[in-house]
Amino acid sequence: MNKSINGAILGLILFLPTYCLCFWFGIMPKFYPLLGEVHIVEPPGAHIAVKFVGSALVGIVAGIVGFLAGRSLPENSGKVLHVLVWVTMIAAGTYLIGRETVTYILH
Amino acid sequence: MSYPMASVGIFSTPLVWVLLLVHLLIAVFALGAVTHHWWLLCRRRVPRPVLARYAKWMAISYPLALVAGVLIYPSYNVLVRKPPIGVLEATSRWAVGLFEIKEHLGTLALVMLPWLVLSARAYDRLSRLERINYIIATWVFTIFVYYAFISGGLVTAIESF
Repeated sequence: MNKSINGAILGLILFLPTYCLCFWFGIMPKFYPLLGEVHIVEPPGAHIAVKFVGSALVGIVAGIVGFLAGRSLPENSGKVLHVLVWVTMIAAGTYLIGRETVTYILH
Repeated sequence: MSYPMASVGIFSTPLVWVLLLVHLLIAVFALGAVTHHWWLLCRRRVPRPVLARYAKWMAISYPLALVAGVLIYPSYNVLVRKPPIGVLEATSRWAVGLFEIKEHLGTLALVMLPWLVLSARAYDRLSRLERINYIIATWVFTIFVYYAFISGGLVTAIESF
């Protein structure tokens, strides 16, 4: 088993729940718009919430920690990681797609 | 209270136009790299250097396409999607849902990228389990990227016509 690949997989495993939790608890940092025309808009305000960017940034920090930790794991732990990554992907994908489907498509 | 841009759509300013076009061009490039990478893995005998080359182009172009998308996102949110200026939530709520799913899948694909690139570089040395998972991950990644491309185009088309 390749240690770097183990690191990348553990990074993904840690990213997924972190990203989902950020959505669950509504971590939405506010960014000033990068394009000039938005400043004249009164509501929704001079700045807007960008939940994807905020959640992804928090998740990526967790992913980097996972990558570094995964590289130091013993090589035979790769088998567990290779199974766990799909369990996590299916769970996170179900939550994220279900969340948007219920909120926007079915509602 | 007045909203000077109440009637404008996604192509309200030349800058948004340019950014959208740049986003599209990079996305097409990324789609090409992703498709070639996927197609190489579908063949039985995979030349590792070619696989690693396409994985490298994927690793360069996909994050760039994502960054271009992030730059347009504030305009989309205010001018296209949310009231009082944006109308998409009111008129085509399902399209907003598809777009939100695209954002999620696009982010997941970004985080899958290191796994694919490292696997492509070490393809000859992968164990059976690693190789099977690499192939499955490539399929999943390719589906995510195609979904993002198609749904992004769909929302742009709805708002444009």
